Amino acid sequence: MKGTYLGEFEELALLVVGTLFDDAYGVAVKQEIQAQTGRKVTLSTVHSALHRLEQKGFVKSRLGDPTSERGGKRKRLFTLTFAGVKALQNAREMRNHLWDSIPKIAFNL
Amino acid sequence: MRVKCGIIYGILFQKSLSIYNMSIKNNIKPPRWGTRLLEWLCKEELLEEIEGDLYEEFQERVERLGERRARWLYNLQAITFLRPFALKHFKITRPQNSITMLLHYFKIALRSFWQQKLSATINVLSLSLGIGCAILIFLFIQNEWSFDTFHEKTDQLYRINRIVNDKNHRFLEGINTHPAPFAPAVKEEMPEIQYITRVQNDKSYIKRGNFISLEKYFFTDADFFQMFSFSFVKGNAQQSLEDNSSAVITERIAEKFFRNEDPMGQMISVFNDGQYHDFIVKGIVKNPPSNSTFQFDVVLPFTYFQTYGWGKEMEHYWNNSFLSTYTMLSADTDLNVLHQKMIKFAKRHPVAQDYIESHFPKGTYGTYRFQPIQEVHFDNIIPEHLHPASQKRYSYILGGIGLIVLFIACINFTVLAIGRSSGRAKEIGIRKVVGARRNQVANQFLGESFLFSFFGLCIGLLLAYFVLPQFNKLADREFTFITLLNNESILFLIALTLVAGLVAGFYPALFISAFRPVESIKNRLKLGRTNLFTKTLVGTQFVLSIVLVIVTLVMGDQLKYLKTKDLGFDKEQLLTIRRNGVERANFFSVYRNELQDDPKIVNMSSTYTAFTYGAFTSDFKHEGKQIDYSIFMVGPDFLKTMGMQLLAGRDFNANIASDTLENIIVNEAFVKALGWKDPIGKKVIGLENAGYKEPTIVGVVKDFNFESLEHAVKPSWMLYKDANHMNDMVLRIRPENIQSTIQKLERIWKNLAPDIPFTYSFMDERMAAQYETEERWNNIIKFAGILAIFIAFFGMFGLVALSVAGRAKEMSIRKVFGASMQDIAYAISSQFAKLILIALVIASPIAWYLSNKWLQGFAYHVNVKPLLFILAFGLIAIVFIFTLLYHVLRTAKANPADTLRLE
Repeated sequence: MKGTYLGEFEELALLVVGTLFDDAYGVAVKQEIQAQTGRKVTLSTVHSALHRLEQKGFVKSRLGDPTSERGGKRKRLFTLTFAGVKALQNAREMRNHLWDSIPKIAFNL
Repeated sequence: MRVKCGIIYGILFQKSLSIYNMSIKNNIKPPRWGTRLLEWLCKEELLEEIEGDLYEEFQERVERLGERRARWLYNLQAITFLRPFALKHFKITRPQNSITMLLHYFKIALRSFWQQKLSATINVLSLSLGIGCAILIFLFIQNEWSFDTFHEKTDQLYRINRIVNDKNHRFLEGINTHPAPFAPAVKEEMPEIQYITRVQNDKSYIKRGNFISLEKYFFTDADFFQMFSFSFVKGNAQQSLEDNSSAVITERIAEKFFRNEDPMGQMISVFNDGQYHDFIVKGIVKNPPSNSTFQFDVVLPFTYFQTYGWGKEMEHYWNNSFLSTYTMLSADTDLNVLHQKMIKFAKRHPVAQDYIESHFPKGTYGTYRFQPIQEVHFDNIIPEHLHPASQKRYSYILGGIGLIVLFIACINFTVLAIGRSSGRAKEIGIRKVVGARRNQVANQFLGESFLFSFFGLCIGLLLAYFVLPQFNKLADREFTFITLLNNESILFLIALTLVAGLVAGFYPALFISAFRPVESIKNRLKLGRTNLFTKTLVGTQFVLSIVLVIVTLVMGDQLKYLKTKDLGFDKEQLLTIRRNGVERANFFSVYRNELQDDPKIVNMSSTYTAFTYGAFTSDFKHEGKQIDYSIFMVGPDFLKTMGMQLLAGRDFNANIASDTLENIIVNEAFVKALGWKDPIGKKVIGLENAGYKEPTIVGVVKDFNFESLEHAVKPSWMLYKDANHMNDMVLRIRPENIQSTIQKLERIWKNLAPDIPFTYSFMDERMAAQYETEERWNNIIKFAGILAIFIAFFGMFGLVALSVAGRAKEMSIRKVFGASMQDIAYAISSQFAKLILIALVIASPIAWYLSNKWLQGFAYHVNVKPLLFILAFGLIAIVFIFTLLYHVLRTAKANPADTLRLE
């Protein structure tokens, strides 16, 4: 098992899984990332990130129902785990903490 | 009724079809290729979601971007999924033992090699000979076909030819040299010309301090290095030739003259026109590659050439064409337009107009043609004097020889592999029993063949490496082994190995894999018997090598004839001294007087152009018949000096005034062309040239071959003038102390013309030099012939071994019954003797045909002598006997009990 460090893109993916709640699967996550950040990502990048997150225990997944617009294939739907939520909170707290410790003067450019 | 039914059915069918089409339209399937890739390489548990996601995205893209792009993107996306998280772990999911099997095959191949060292060594050796040969020939051909293509802007580089067209704009003749003012004029008037350079080449002494050596140098315009991509090590293409005293040298010269010093800014001196001229090194370039028409050691500015000697005035000489001129046209040039403009240019600046008017019918005109630089190397119509022109034919012949040798080598491999398989019958039987499929066995043997051809390649490369210096001499090139390190040749080597492996291993693989397991294990297989197939192969080898041997012998015979044939004059100890443009009018007379009493000089005379330096040719109409002829302008004592034989009439006489005005001496061919019995004293009606009008024949000489024996003797006539009109002096000297004679000649020359170089040559050497190409080809074919025989010998050896092994029992029984050594020898060799006889019968007419075809190229040639055939047969017989000897002795010495007991 790799460390539980959360990469930048992973964090993004994790957040998006959170926002999509019960409809987070590959294409949806990809489109949401594109819509929210304007970043062009490939499907394989998203998949690879989601699988890493699952390995780290931040998300869990189940297979959905087959639909015709997917050529009869099932979706893999991801949802946040407790550890995932915790990791997001940690990241946010750390960021806030860092934000708070920037001296005011540093912003007066 | 029936028809109606059909229509209704058709309508229904169409309807269902259109529904079907609609559903397809709504749901276009993603490309199969990408899906397959995923199915093949992705983890199964991930496959479904990945495929699903891709599918969904694909449908969305079809609507947004169209099907084509969507398909393309789909495949691209599929490829991006080939990353660690999604890839199958092949080893875990499906256990495979191919690596183990491969290692096993490799081990077995080496073991069988070890077990049959002799045959396997022969196998690899002959293959490596063939491959080595192919590599060298490839080098040569690659070099030939890549001439002058290394320049950055090869497509824009042209040689300018001055040509003569008839009134229908058809090409009549052309040359590639131009007068000095041509290049500046054409550059000024034609905006298409970006760069232009004149090239004057020569060889001379280069001096630095006390170190002197003979090197090749060029005088070129400053554009030279901007047009052509000779890479600069130091200095740059733009400025190196800018001023009058600068010089660019090659790395070779830099090393030779300067060793570890930096040559830049240093002085070197070049000997020209009787003195040394100083130049400052402003640039160093890499040595010109061997596939460059321009081969130089030092490049000097043309502007300097125009500052001394006769160079000063040549700016205005439109009638002295001696400079190769090359140009770089701008990329958007329309050649047709340019050629049209050049016709007008030629009218504004006429060159050799009198020549055209006097030699060609009305309407003929002179113009120019821009010839792409890549064509120059193979141009034999207008050969480039900077570098000898080549012929594409040579590449084809050599390529053919290479293929033949390689083919012979592959035959060996095939024959020997089949032979060796007899020892491996059991192995194959067991393999099959254990469950090997036929194609597995075939692949195994094919793989072994590739392994062998790879060994062959390695040894072949090694051979090529060691033979390269000799090959360079043969081919007159300077290849280095590093030349092989380019994409093309590496690709060639790989292809060569694969093809050799395939050709050599294909048949054995099929043959061996067809063994029936039970028979092969029980030793019931009639192996080792030579069959028709292997016999045909070995027979072919012999046919090919016999042909090569006979052709070599015939070529050698012809070359000997060329060098020894009576030429109608005596070419031994005949020295030619060139005038080299000494201006003094009575120079040759004075020179002659100085030498008058020298006992070392037997005879001397002079001529306008000595033999092999070319001749004036023209034609005239005589009684309705056109006669082509050559003219020689000769000085006093010419016949005597040359050793020509007067058949009728008299020699020229300085005291008879009409001899210099209207009398001529002709050769036999001329008389024959006229059809006269007694020509002496007759006027030649219709002949008018060189200031002579209907001259009178006063003498007839025996035909003399003044050019290569490829050509028949042309009708020729000689006219008589005093020595001062002449360009070349010819001297017959005594054979003793030739060196001191030449030294004396040079000393006198230096006194009379101190600033003009003294150049001399021997007629016999010049005559021999005409056959250099033929000689080189003879050597190459000889080389190939020896190689072919060598390889065929290997093949025969293997075949006999194979046959002897198969008949071991028979031989033992013969011996038990008291067969003598002769009987054994006969039993073994009879079938091979037959094979060789058949090969001889097939090869002889082929060799005869090819030899004659080659000989037809010479006006004077030997007949193909039967003796040469006998010689070739003898050679083959000896090789054959030696091959057999080993096996006969071995069989005769073997104890019959050993083989018989094996039952």
